Amino acid sequence: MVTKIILIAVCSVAMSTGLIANVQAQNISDYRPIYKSMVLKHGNAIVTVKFVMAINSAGKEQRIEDRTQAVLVSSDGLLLVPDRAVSFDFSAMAGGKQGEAGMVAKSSEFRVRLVDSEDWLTADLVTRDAALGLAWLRIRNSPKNLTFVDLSLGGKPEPGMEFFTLLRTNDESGSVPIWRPGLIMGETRVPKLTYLVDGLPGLAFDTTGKPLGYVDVNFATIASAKSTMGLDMANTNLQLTPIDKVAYATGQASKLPVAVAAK
Amino acid sequence: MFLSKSLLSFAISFFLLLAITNSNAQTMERSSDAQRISKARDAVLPVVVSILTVRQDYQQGEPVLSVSSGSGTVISAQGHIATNAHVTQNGKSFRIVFFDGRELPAKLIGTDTASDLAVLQAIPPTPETFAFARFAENLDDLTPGDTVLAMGAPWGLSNSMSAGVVNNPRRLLVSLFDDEADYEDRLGVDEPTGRYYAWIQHDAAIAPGNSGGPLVDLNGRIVGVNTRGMIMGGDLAFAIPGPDAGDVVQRLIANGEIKRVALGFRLRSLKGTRYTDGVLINAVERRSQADKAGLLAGDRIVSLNGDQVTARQPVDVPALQRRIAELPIGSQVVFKIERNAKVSEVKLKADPQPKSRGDDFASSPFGISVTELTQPMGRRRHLDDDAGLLITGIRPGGAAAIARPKLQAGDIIRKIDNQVLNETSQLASIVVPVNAEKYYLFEIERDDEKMLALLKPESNDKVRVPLPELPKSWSGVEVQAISSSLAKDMKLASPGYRITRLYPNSPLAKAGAKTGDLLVSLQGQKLKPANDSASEPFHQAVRDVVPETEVKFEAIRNGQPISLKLSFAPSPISSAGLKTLNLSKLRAEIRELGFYDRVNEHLSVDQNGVILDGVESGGPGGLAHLNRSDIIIRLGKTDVVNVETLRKALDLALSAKSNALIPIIVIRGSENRVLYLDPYWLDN
Repeated sequence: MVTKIILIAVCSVAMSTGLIANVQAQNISDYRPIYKSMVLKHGNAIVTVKFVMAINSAGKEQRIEDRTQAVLVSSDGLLLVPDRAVSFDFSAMAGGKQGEAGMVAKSSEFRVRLVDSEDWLTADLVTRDAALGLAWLRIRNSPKNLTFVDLSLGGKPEPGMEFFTLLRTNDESGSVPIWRPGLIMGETRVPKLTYLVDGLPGLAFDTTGKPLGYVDVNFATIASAKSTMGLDMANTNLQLTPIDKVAYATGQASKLPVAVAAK
Repeated sequence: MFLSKSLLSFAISFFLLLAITNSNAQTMERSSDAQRISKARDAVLPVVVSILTVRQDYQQGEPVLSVSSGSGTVISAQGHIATNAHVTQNGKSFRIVFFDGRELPAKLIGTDTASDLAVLQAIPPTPETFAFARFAENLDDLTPGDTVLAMGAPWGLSNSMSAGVVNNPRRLLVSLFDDEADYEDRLGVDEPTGRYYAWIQHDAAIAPGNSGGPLVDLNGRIVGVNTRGMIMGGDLAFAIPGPDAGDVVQRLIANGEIKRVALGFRLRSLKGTRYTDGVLINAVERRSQADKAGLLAGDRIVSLNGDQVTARQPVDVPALQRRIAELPIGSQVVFKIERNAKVSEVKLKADPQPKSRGDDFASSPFGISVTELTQPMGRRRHLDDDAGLLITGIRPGGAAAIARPKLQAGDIIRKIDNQVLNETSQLASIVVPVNAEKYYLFEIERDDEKMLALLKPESNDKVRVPLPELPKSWSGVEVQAISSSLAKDMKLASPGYRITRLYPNSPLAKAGAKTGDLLVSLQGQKLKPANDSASEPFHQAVRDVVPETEVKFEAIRNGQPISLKLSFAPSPISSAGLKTLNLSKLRAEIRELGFYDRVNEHLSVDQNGVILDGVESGGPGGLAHLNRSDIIIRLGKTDVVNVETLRKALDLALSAKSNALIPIIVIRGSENRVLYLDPYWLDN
C-alpha cells in the first residue's frame, strides 16, 4: 500500500511537470501513457458500490440489487455517486416535474468495496442534488488516508475537448479499472450550463488527470424528445456537469452528517 | 312453495298436452326445465358461501399478504364448508360470507392437496345449527348433455349461478394428442392434484372465484366441486366428482388429513397395446420400494391382492391409483406381474405416502425464505436424501444476497454452524443477537456441489432513510416562458416569465406578486427565455441563487413596471425526502404529507394527515380498503397530524380491546370518505 502511495505521488509530480502535457500537445494516437497515468493517479479512487433499490408496489417493497461506480472525493470516505443510484424519479422519466410527489424508487443498504479489499463496507447516504444528478455517501467507520480525487483542482471543460471517463468493472470481470475517451460536442445554457458529450457516464478527466465534470444520462431530455421520426439527431442524452458545480455541491455535502432513518 | 310450484307445473303441462304441436312440446320442456332449475337452485344456493382468504406467500425472501376468494358449500349442521385446497392454500385467516350476506370467521379443519379439497368450519359467535347440503353418492346416471348449475362467487361476485351441460362426466385432462404419461407431470411440481379421479367436464360458465363451489344437477344433487376452468378459449370447466369429494371431506372432518399409501410407481393404461387385461407400470421411482423389489417400467400388473385389475383407457387409471393409495398403511400388498409372458408375484409393504411439500418460513435476519425439503421434493431434485431446507427466495440486498458466496434460490441448507437443519423451526430458533458482528457458516448443496458460505445476519432490517437534498432556492411560482417574438406578437412590453400559478405563502406571494405578473429580470439580469416552451431556465436561475439571499425581481403588471423584493426560501421537500414509516400493524407504508401532496390534491397549506405510499392487499389496511394515495386525517377518535400521531391513534384505538370496527377518515380525490378497520384482521 505504501509503495502504491509513493508511486502515485511520483506519478503526480511527473504529470504536473509536463510529462502528460506533452501528450496533450500532440495529436493523440496512442493513449497508453494517459491510461497508465490516470489509472495510477485516480484508479484507487474509483470504487464499486452495491445498493438495493426499492419501490413500493401494493404495499410491498419490490427490491432489486444493483451496483455502480463511486468516486472517493475525500480521504475520509466521502463518495460521489450518480443520484440515480440513490433515487429514481419515475415522474421525471415520464416528462413530469422531478422531485415533487411522484413515484420514486429509493435505495438503501449501500455497500462499498475499496480497491484491493475483499470486504463490503457499509456506507450511508449523506445528501443528494437532484438538479445536478449527484448524491453523496459516506463510508461508515472509514479507513483514513484514502486515495481520492480532489474536485477543487478541476479543469475547465470546453467544446472540442477530449475527456476520459474512469470506471471499474464488476467482480465477474475482475474489478479492474477501465477508461474510455469521450468528446465534448457542445455547450448549452438552457436550462443551465452543461456540456453535451459523447462518451461514458462517470467522472471525466482531461488528459492531465484533472477532473472536468460529471457525465451522466439526462433522462429529462429523453422524456422531452419530441421527434418521433428520429430526425432530430442533434439531441444528445449525455451531459457533463462542469466540475466547479460538482465541487461546490460536494463541499456542501462534506459538511453534512449522514441521513438518519425515520423512527 | 315447492308444492304449489309442482301443482302449477302440472296444470301447465296438462294444458300444453291438449294442444299438441312440436313447438308447444318444446315450450313445455323448457318450462319444466326452468322449474327443475329453480328447485335445484333453492336446494343448494342458500348454503353456498363465498370464502375470503388472507394468504401468506413468499416473495423475494419475505412473507407477503394478499387476499383471494373462492366458493364453498356448507356440508354439515356444525358449519363445515367444503372447498378446494387451492382456495385455502397458504391461508392465514378465513372469512365466510353466507347467502344472506352474514360474515363469519372460519378455521381450517383439514386440507388434502392431492385431491385439491379442503374443509373449513365457520365460527359463529354463539353455537348454531347451519343449513347444509350433501354430495351425490353416485354419478352413474350423469351423462353428457345433462343440465348442470355452477354456483359460487366468480370474480368475488357472490350468490352467482350459471347453467350449462355436462360435456363428459369422466374426463382426464389429456387430449387426443398428448401422451397420457405426461398427465401427472402437469398436475403440479411439488403438489400434484387430481391424481385420484377423472373430472366432470361441463360448460356452465365459471371464473376465478368459483373454485370450491358446487356443481349441481337438476335433481338438486351436488355432483361436483368446480375446480378448474379456462379463462381463455371457451367455457370449459372441470369439477371434482361429488362422490369422491364427499368421501374426502368426510375423512377430513374426521381426521383432519388423508393418509395414503405410496409404493413408488405410476401407472398407465393399456391403450395402444395388444393387452386387454391389467394395467402397465409407467414409471418406477429410483430407490423406491418398487425399485428395490425389482419392478420395471413396462411391467404389467394383472392382479392386486388377488383381484384382477384393468385400466384399458387413460380415464380408468385414476380410480386404480386411488385404490392403491387407499390400501391399509402397513399392510402387505401382493401384485401379480407379467413380464416377457411370465407371471410372477411381488410383495410390497404399503408405506405411508410422504408429505408432498414442507412448511414455509422466512428468516428476516438471514434474508431468505425456505421450505422444508420432503422426500418427493428431494427425489425430484436428484438429492440423496430429504434432509435440509430448500431456499425459495432471497431478499435483494439482504444477508444471504451478500454472503460469501451469495446464496441462491434452489440452494439446500444442510447445516448452519454445524447444526443440522431439517425443520423450519430449527432455523427460527437461531437467535441472532442484535447488532452482533457474528458470522454464520452455512453448509449448502447446490447442483450436487457441497459448498460453504459465510453469512452475517442483519438485525436492522428495513431501515428507511428519507432522501435529503442540498437546499435550493425556491420562489414559489409556476411560470410561462414569453420569448421576445411572442412578447412582440402579444404586444407585451418585454420578454420574460409570466406567473401562471402562485403558491400560497411562497416567497413571491409574500412579496406581493400576482398571477399574470411578467417577471423580466432577477438581480438586474434579464430573464429572456430562449423559446416559448421551457420554463425550466427560470427555475434554474432561481436555484443558482444561494437560499435566503435578498433578491429583487423587476416585473410588469398591467403594463406598469413594479419591483418585488424577497428572500428565496429553500425549496419544499420532495416526496423522496419526506419521512416514511412502514406500519407493520396495518401492513402499509405511510409517508408524511408534503408541500407537493397538498398542491396536487388541492388541499390547504395547513392540511394535516399522512399519505399512503402503499398498502398490502392482504394486510389489515388493505382489508379496510385503504388505497395508495389516500390521505388519512382521522383514525378512531384521534385526528392524524403526522406519522407519529397515526401510530399513536392506532395504538389507542386498539387498546380499547373491543371488536368494534375502527373508523378511518381519508381524503380520496375530492371526497372525505370513511373506511372501517376490522380489529379481527389485526389479530389474525
